Order: sequence, then C-alpha cells, then structure tokens
Amino acid sequence: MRRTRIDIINDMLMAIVNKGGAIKPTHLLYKSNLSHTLMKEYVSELTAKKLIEEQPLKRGKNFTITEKGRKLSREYKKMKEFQEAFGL
Amino acid sequence: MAKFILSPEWFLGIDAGFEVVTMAVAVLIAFTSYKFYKISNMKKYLYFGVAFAMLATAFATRVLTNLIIYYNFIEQNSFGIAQAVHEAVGPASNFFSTGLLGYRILTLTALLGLYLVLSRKAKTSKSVKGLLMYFVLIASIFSTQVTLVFHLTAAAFLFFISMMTLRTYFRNKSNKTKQTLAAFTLLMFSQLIFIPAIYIPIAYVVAQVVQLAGFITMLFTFRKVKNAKN
Repeated sequence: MRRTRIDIINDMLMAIVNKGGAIKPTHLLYKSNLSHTLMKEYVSELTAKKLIEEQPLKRGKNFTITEKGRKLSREYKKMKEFQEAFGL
Repeated sequence: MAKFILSPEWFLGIDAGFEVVTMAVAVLIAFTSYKFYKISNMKKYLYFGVAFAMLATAFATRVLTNLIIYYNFIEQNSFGIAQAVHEAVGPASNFFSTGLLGYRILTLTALLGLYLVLSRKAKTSKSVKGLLMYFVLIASIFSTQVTLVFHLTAAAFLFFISMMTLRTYFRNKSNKTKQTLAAFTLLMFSQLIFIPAIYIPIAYVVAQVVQLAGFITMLFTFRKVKNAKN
C-alpha cells in the first residue's frame, strides 16, 4: 500500500529513534526508502517544523529528533490504532 | 402533553443523564479525530470527527428538549390546573417538535456521514451525496408524523456501518475493531427497540440502556487507542 505523507514522516522519525536519537543523512536516506531529492524535501519540512535538528559534526552532520518529533511519533501510533479500531 | 414523553415517570431525567454520557463520548471521539486530521491532513479524520460532532450536537438538542418538556410535565402534575396545562402545551409543543426534528436531522446526517467515510465513498459524486441528503431530510420530516421512519432509517444506516466494520474485523482481526463492531451493533439494536416505545414504555428504557451500552463500549475502544504505547 502506498505510503501517505504522514507515514513517510513517521518512518523517518522512527529511523532516527531506532538509531538512538541521531542518524547520519545516508543512513536516513536508506532507512526512509526515499530518493535523495524527496528526502531533502522532507528533511527541510521536518527541520522547519522543529521535529528534527541538524547537528554539525567534525566530519559531516547528524540529524537528531526533538521532543516535538518524539511526541508526533507517539501521536502517529495512536492515530494508527484509531484508524484500525474504527476501520478508517 | 403525555404523547411527547415516552419515558415512564420514574425514568424521567435518567434518560437525559444517559444522553449526556453518550454526548460526552461523541465529543471525545470527534475531538480526537479532528486532532488526527491536524496531524495527518487526511480528510477522512475530519469527516469522521464532524460526523461525531453532529451526533454530540444531536444528543445535546435532545437533552435540552427533553428536560424542558419534563419540567413542564412535572409542573403540570404538581399544579393540576387546567389553565396552566393549556398554556404549557402550546409553546412546549412547538419547542418539542422543533427540537425533535433537529435531533433527527442531525442524527441521520451524522450516520450518513459515517457511512460515506467508512465505505470510502466520501469522494462519491455530489449529486449522489445530494440525493442521499435529500432522503435523510425527507425521512426526518416524515418521522415527525411516523416515528418508525426515523428509527428504521437510523437502524438501516447502523446496519451497513456494522457490516463494514465486520468486514474490517475479518481483514485485521483486531480486538479493538471487534469492540467497535459490538458498539455499532448495540446502537443498531437500540434503534429497533425504540420503535415499540410509543406503546410499551419499558421498551424506551431498554432502548436507552442499550444505546448507552453501545457508547460505553465505544468509550472502552477509545481508551485502548489513547493508551497505545510505542
């Protein structure tokens, strides 16, 4: 089944959570199963909405999940349960 | 005057209490669905929330209408004065009819909305939706003369909603879906039990209890959703 926008956002957030809260861009690209262009678009959106933050490193950068991002991920889980319960 | 009140005297006010509870459950579900719409931007959550908000408004209308009628009824029985009865019946009759019509239009529209969302037919053509809404209006208006029409129409909607929920349950085998199925089925039966209430007052009591049970079951499902952990 085709992923919706919120499904992709949650997949990206969960990818970061599963990596201990911080993830390299290439790992995020692989885990989110998106093209590079699309991933950049989503990263821009997630950063603008303060769901993730860019953390510069000595070499390269990491993406870290914020508390707002973690909260969204929890709400996503409840949304899916709601969808399942009511057959939406 | 008595024809407006289907409830046995000992149940007066208790039914309003039941409907306040069902209204609260409908508000909770409506609010939560709207919250998920804001998160996901998916219209199905918005339509689902609006349908439950309409149900909540319908119950609020009914509670208000019934309480005002009950108050008049109690006053008449206390005073026992013919003049007071005559004065009370006129405006109360109009108020009750308007409130009842409002309750029925809102309820049937809400059930129609739920049916369209759950059957994935919310994107169906405007003319079909318009026609369905026309039938809802006709059924509501006609039901002011023949109460049977409202309860049968509501039961029919709830039957189809239950069938769709059953299909969803066969697909996902989820306990939460099974509870939702139980809730909608109880609501369907409550509408059928309301039908003989004009002649058998105890049927009104049973129907109210079954309706409350349906919404309480839905509340239990909702609690499981709210307590879902990562």
